[in-house]
Amino acid sequence: MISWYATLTLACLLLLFLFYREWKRPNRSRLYARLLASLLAAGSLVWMAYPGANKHTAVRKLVILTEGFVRDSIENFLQKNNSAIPLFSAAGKYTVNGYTTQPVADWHAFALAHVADTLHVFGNGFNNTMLDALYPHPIVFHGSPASPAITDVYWKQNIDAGEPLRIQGNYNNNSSQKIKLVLQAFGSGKDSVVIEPGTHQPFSLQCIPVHSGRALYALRTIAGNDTLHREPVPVVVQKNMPLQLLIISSSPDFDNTYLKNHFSQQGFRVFITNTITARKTAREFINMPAQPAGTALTTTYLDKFDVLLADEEALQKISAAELAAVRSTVQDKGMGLLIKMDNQKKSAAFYTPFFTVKALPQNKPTFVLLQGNTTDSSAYKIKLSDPAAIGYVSGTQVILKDAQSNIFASAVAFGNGKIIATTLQNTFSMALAGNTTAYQQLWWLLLNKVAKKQYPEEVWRTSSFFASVNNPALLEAETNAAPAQTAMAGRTTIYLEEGSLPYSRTGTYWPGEMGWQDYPDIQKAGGNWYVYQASDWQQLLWYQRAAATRAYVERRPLVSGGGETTGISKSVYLRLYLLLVFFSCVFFLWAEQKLG
Amino acid sequence: MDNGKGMQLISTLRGKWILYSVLGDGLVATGTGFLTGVLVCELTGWPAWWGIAYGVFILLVLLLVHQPWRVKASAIAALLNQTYPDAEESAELLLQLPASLNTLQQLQYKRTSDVLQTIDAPLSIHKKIWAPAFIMVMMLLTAIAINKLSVPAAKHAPSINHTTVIKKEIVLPQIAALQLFIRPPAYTARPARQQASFNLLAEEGSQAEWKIQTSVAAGQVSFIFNDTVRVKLRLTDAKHNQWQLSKKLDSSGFYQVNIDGKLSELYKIETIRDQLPVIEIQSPKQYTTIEYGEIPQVKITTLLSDDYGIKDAFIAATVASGNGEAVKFKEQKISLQGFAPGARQYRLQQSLLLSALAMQPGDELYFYVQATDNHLQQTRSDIHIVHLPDTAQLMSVEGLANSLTLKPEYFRSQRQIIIETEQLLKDKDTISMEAFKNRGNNLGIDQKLLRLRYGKFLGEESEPGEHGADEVDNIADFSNAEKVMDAFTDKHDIAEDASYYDPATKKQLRATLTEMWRAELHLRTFTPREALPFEYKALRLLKDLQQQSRAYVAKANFKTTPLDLKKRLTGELSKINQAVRQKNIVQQKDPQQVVRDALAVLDTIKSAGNADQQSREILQQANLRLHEKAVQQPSHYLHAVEALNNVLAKLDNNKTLRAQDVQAAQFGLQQLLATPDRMPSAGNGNLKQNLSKQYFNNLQNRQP
Repeated sequence: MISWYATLTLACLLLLFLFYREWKRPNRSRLYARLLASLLAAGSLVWMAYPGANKHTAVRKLVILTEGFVRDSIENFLQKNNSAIPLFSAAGKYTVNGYTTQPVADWHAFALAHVADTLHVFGNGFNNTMLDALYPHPIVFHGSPASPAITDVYWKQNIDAGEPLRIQGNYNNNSSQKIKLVLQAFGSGKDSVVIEPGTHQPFSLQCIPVHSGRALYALRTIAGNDTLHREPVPVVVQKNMPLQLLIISSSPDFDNTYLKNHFSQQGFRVFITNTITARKTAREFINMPAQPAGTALTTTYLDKFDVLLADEEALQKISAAELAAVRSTVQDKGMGLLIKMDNQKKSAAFYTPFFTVKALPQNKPTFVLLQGNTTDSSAYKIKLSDPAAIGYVSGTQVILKDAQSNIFASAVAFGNGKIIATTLQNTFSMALAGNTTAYQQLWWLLLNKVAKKQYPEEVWRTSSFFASVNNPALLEAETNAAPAQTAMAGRTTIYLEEGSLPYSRTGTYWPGEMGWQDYPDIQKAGGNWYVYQASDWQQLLWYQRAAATRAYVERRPLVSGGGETTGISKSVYLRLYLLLVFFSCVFFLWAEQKLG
Repeated sequence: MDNGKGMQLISTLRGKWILYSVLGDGLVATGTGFLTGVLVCELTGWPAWWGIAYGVFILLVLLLVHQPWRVKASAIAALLNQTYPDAEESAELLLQLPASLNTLQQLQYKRTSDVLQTIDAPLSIHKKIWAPAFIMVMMLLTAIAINKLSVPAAKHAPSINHTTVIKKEIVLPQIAALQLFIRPPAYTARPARQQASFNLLAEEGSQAEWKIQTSVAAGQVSFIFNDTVRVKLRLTDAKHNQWQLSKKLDSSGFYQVNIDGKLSELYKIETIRDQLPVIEIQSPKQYTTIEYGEIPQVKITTLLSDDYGIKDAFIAATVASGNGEAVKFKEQKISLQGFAPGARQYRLQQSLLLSALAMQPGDELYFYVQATDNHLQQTRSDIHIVHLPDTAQLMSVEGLANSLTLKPEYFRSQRQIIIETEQLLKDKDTISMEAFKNRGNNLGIDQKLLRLRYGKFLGEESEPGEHGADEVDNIADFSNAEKVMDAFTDKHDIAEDASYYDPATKKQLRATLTEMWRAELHLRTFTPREALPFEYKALRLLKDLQQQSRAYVAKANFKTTPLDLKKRLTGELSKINQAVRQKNIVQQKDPQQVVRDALAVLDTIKSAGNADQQSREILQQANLRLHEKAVQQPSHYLHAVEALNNVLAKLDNNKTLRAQDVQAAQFGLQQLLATPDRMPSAGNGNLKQNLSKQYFNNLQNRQP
């Protein structure tokens, strides 16, 4: 390599020679421009040759250690390459072969500072935030061998009382022995599944929590007699608020009476009106104030109720104004309408196009096994005296059907509310036969589906499913309240930003302690979320990091160049510019001489 | 002169010889004993001490065989001569007194003696021990190998029960000794027993007597039963050291010892209830019919068992005779043969002769077995019915005369076969054997024809393999496709052949055909007497079929015409008020709710370490529920009660909680809980839906 000083001397000599030539030239026009061009040409040559300019362009290898790295593989790598490779780490300090790693906090700055260097990443790789910061710097990933791990998992953290807790996910068992996953609640196993060796298969575990409030369940991974991992599963069981039910019946009916008694015992507010004879009705108000007799149904009054349960005949008998009020409350206010239908011919109303009822042949078996179409496993054995089924109409959702796919309950969305029609007239027989659980479940299915939705003023959620201590958690709020700039989470103030939609706000929070945390409140929304320890669900997070890093490598592969690969660097552009300056100056001198 | 030195040397060597011989035998015996011990232990499970006994036995046998003490000095001298050429075959000289030797011998004596002084003991004496030592090592290795190989099986077995860890009882330090006498009640016939631990497992009604010796003089000792009843112990000595209490144990529960205000942990009292006797009747079936022609007897096989013993057992039989209003019942008690009171299990067999019970055709026998145990608890089995059908009714044609069915001729045929079979049996003694066989066979053929005719109702065309062959065999029909197809196809589409019976009728017809098959079998094998029961059964089934078809009335669906309210109740009702009722139902609090809350409270305090007043109240209420349950099932819940008590005590004293206590309390509490029902509720809508709601409302408003 020509030494820098020789280059400099030669450039100076060239400059003197150019100056001398230009100075001595008889034509003295544009002398200063020519002198400047000579200077720039020589200068750009010198700069191009200046080693300082190439200092950053030299391709170096850097080693970055991330969590779960294997020491042997790094030592091998260092031995094969120059052992003086700088070592960096994503978290903590490590000493390998006598070299201590430097922790890196700002990956964006790191990527800019090492724009030409090849980053060799060991361990389980980076998370998405880090990868976003590094983008578009290419990396070489030396992933640690994957151990058996849960690769995806999800469960609903906030569930209603009686609702099953269902944990679903995938397990990658790359070991040679069977692995058992056990869902534990308060020290006793509730459900388990065995993952065969050498498979990557989905799993689903479930139990109905018996507690009320917050609790920490556990998912244990067992191989043989050893517990490999014990991961926390936080669950919040909420108490349900009773519904407000309006029942209009064309005649006294035991099914409605039983329903009224059953649910009013559970705190429901029920108003039931029965036609007992021409122009005479019996009204009963349970857990709610009475209305004077003869009061018509108005939109304002109907809006107080979550569900209107009526038989079709009763709906035919009420006045047109009242029916219009029912329609408008369902459509605009979102009240649920549950209609008991039979195969008697009725005049058309707003709900009739969705439900066509036909009688079923009488020779069917007396007991019919109904299946919930929207839930997976519920089945109800019921005795039907006059079986009738609802025909399928496009746009409706089947709620209950039998083994022959005869529909016994069907739902349709009507404006803001829902309408469900059912042909079941004697559900009480289930309860009287002693099967109250099935009765409750059947009515839960119908009422829960049809009931008016409540719109809370404020809803919070965390965007990272596994928010852990000392890591940022993104809190999202959906609120109708006036835009707030800050919210208090414990003693910490969170600054809120406008989200993509007008009612959403987002804020970043760094939890300092593990365990249950209260959501910050703008309007006292309440609610809890759980902050995990850094070691919780570690295998899953590592697996996901490795997968994200591999995906990143696929997205940003190294550009090959000679023996060592390098990225496009800033200094290459600089030299291109210098070359351009040099040629421009030389061209100017040549052209000026020719023209002169 | 070294008089006697040589002698001394030889006797020393003899002593060594004997020692090594005994040692060698000892080694062999040890090895054998060890190996035997291991084998006995592994194969039979007996204690390994048997090996020692066997080892001693082997040692004695070997010593008696070898008799090492009988080895003679001359033999040792011979050995010396053999081993050491330097002794010049003169070792025997050393055994003699030098004075008795001649000069030459004396010279040789001295020389040999000197030589032998300079040499060590012969090697062969050392060698004596090698072989036995080798044998012993081999046997030890074999024994260890056997032991190792069988270790996994031995160790795995107890690991199955590792969950049932028996908790060690913690006794108050003031208690020096405890004697607890349990006297089981008389019905158990068990002897009194004694134990030195507080946890009790006793038969219901047992008398328990505690004798406590305190290490220091105590002011007062009392038991607190179920955390409610306090019973003082009686002082029996002047030093205030001996205390006594006697109590009858009628129910399960738990108790605590209180010595001068110092409380012990909770001890459980579990009582074993006396079970009712169990009766299983293996034969006959619940409903048995004895056909005409069968031996009129019932074989009753019954299994009786009880936990402490059965005192009495018998068969209660009732014969119902006659029908309609003239039905008569006759009850009698029949003792079970072979029953001797006191045993826990019986398997009894007894034959009931129906004729002995004076049963006539058409009568029914109802019987059940009743057993009484030592505690005078009684159980009775289900009622079994034995029916003796009246064949006279079967043979009557009265019912057939009025029938409209198409089958009377067949019935008559079956009846005819029965009549003829009976006639054949009567004539058996008067006719020749050949004629008997012929008539029997002819009857069999008739039975077959009848069966085939009935088979048609079931769609059976003919006897399998009967058709086809000769029809196709005709050479004139060669390549006649129609004939060939006729022979090999079933023509189910012919309307006259199709049967219109419902499945139940078909099933019974098939059963009838089976009986006819059996009857035919016996008729054709010249045993008409055995055929008779099957013939009768076939007839009875056919008769039933006929009765069924006559009794059947199709159910008609009944639906009233809907009421027209305009016409109905059109009277003046204006003075009748509209009914309005209002009531508030006080919602009953779910008794389990407090336990559900307590689970969450415990989970919170597990991480937080302390609890506020409200949480403590929840825990205290949950503790009451747990208490109630622990009294009924102490073995399940006592541990949880104790753990929750510890948690509450530590919360009150602001001490650090033990994670095991919290976990044990949670484990117990959750066992109390049933799965909650799902209550319908208004779900939460998403605020995103709120946006679409606004959009929808705007659309609605824009509509003309």
